[in-house]
Amino acid sequence: MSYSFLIFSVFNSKFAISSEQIYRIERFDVENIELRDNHPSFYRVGDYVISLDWLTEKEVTSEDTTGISRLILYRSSSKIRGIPVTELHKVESFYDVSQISHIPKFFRGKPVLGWVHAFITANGQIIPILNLETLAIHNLGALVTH
Amino acid sequence: MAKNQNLDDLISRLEEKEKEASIIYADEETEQVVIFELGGSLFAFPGKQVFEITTFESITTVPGLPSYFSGLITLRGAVEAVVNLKYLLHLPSDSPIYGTRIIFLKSEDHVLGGLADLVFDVMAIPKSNIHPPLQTLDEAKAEYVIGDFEYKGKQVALLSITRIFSKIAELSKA
Repeated sequence: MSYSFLIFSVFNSKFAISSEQIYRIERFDVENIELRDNHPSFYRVGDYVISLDWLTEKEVTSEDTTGISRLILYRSSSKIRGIPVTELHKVESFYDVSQISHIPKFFRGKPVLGWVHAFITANGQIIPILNLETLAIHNLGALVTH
Repeated sequence: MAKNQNLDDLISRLEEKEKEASIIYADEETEQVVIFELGGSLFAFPGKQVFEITTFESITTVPGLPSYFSGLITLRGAVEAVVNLKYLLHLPSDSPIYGTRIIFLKSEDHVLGGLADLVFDVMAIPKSNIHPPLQTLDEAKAEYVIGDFEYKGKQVALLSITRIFSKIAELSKA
């Protein structure tokens, strides 16, 4: 049994997403952004408009979108949503769970880190694996999701 | 001359008093404490709830982690959260520096790390040397301080690990 994750960056933070949960990866085009209250909240994909999940604490403005290179599309509650990404790193496979850690017991059942499924721990780095079921619905305070 | 002799006598009596203070009588109940420095002040944790002390290497910050956490760290393959004690105790905050220590605390089944500037000592002190916290202690510290004692002429505030865990749990629910 192996677990495969795509590791990517959003500004200065690294994240991982289970490869199986990725619907599609697109080149990000600023022309397709739709603003709400000056916030780049939506993105046009063909005939559809999807919501964006910004994985950052900062209040994202249109200027920030110039650093975005790709859009990871995923399906959540039968809707397609998108994660703007500054850099795609690699797909990494793990054949045992020793490099994957559960979220600390302290946070289980609490809203803090409710958007994290588990962590990849490799080469001294701790990378959160996104919980796509909760990413869009969790009100995580500083983490901006719309 | 007599004045000098008086002073010498005073000094030797003070030294005797110091020696006396450092003697722990075998039948006296003691409390093991971990003494550390944080923001220029001395604090201590009850030793029985200190799980491990490690050197600070790196802490991973994760977006959305509240400011009462310094970040996440791996300990024996598990990811654990590190509490920002300076934030809780309302001490002036600066960025973590190399050479600091992380004190891992355990309460029931939960583990949390606490970032300390320096760890001074792990020692047993007589319980009779631990005094109730001063009434004048500021509100932010009073929430966590359960007593104070003297260590090498300096006051040390003994912190309640249980109260720290309760506060973090309360803040994390919000």
